[in-house]
Amino acid sequence: MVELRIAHLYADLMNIYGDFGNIIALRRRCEWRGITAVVHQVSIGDKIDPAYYDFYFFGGGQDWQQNVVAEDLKGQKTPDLLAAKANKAVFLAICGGYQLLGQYYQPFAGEKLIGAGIFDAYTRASSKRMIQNLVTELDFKIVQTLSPISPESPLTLVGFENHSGQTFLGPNARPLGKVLIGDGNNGEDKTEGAIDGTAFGCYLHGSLLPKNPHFADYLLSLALKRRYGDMELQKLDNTIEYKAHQNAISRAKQVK
Amino acid sequence: MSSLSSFFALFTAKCIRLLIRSFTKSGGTAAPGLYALKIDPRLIRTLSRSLGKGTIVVAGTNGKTTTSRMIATILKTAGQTYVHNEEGSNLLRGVASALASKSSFDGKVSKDYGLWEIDEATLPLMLREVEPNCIVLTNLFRDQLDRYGEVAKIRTMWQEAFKQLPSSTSLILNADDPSIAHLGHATHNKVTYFGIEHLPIVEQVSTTADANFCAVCSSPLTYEAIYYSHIGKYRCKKCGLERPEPSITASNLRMHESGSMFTVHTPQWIDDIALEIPGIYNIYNALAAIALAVSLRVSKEHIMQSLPQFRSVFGRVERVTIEGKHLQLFLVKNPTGFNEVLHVVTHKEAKYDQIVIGINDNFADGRDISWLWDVDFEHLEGHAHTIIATGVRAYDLVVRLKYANNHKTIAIAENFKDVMKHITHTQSKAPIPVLLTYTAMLAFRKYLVSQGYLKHYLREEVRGERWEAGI
Repeated sequence: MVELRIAHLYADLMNIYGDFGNIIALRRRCEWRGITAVVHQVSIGDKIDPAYYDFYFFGGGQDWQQNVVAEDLKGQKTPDLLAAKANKAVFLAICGGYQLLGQYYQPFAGEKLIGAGIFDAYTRASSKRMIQNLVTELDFKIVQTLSPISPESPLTLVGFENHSGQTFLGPNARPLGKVLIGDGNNGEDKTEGAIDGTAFGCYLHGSLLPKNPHFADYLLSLALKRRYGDMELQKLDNTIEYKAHQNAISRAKQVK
Repeated sequence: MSSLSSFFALFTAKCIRLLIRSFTKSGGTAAPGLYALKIDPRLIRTLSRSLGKGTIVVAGTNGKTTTSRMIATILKTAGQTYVHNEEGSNLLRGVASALASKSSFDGKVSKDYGLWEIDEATLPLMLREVEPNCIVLTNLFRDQLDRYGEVAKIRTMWQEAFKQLPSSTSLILNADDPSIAHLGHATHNKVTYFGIEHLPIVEQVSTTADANFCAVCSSPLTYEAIYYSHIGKYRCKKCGLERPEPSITASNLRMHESGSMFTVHTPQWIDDIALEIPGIYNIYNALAAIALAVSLRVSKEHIMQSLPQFRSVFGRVERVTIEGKHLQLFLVKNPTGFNEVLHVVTHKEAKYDQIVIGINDNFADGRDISWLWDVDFEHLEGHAHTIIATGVRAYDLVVRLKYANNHKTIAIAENFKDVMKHITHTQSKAPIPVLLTYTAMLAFRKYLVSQGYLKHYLREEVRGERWEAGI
């Protein structure tokens, strides 16, 4: 019985912006393939066994929630999460989650909030409001991996961003994609998101995975690889998701 | 009137309103005020001076329209007159338009009360223009995060604005919403709390709850009873914060699919009441209206005469019959509201042949449709044979429904003509719930009027872009 073990980090605190849709998407895409998805909520004070989980999900939240989470990350969580990453677990972090798993967050006033260091990236507070539909090209290496298996999958990611923090990548991370419409990481360098080892972060709400099933399946394969090696995932009918994807891109162009 | 600019502003407002109503189908409920305020930014203050008894303000994420209409009904029965932005915008321009339209040319508004439904972000601005007798706050939920920003920010913004209130303003607050109740802790003004005293309705706090953490120490709240989302009887084990004791309560709730009955307790009287609009959220709206009425010393008789007669307003459980099909229109704006509508629609064993759901992402609907993933569409399982998806973001809805995993038939309707084709095609006599976001509801009603299915439409509309007020 193939099993995917998912840790939903701080689900009770970081649950704004509909990011729960990513958990729903993962669950269903497993279920439709006869894979069992086990989802645990891991929150303040909870211990993690770095060998157990295949996938860590971390969504966006309100400011005060991020402060509470940052406090918790100062403890045992950070070494455990870093160990999990070394163990090749897959991370998907959105918005606030993405920021908190970076090196640090620099607010307007006061001390840096130290992050978990999963991503070689830092974020600084800004007055730039980046709120709009976001369309990006998908990282070339991911596209190369996908194209033999599913040549019909889009070369883009589509979603909606809502942040004012500006994220900048360090040398050990590469972007998840190049921005086509919207601001992405910082509205300056046309990058969106980050890839650091098996960790993926971005500002794409939407939710991200439902309208980007090609990326969902990419992450799924990668997460299962950890304990099961390379496995071919049964192909699913993504017609409606791709339609929604293209429709969202058209809409993004329209309301730009 | 105090100045030439006030007069000019008033005159301009009246002219624009006349022109709009003469030459277009629009109600002219926002543009007159918009331009008038450019000429005299203090017009609202100037015109409000002549109101006989003062100003009442209603704000909150969900329920402000229904609550303010309920208040209007009660006031009317009690022989009080009012000016109300009932057809229009809940921004400052809507207030200014309504005042200007009811004002004499020398700036006198001969009404007892100004009754205003006010947008969350506009409340602080409104409080700079008037000192209300009462402020009624219904609840705070995530809504249009791209426009409003986060729930905690709104509460903090309101808290700041309330610091400037004169001691004569009283607050009417929902004790069962931790965010709203907290505003009562932090104030010196007189507070009347309303709330429900009942057994728990749901098992646990929803994943889309926005305020289930202590506003003082950020610990998770413990609930003795949850009614929906983060609404219920709560306390903080860590710092001792507790839900305040409401003086206006509803108990002994009996809900059915088109309304509810419950016992109302006020400091002066207890009585049973029946509402003809369903859902627990409408019980809260009624409690808010009763609390306001009691604080204005409206008699029990007037309250009990008016509320049971209250019927729905624009898109809130409006019933429309078209070619023998009974449509029930529901406005959906945000996850909590949508979930409550789904509860009402799937009450007990309700089975439908068709349900229509329309999702737009125009500015007034909120551009970010991520919120669809916080709605429990899984709840619809077994209740409908076909879902008809329509609106600008119909495909996003279809994906959401696909992942809710419970529908054999999803039909996509490109426009309302298609929707009507589907509706009139079925033989079924079952009612048809029609759940639409704000601009989709406006467009649908316009369509129904153009096809002659409805005689006239309410001229509520959002003219142009709502502006970023205050945040």
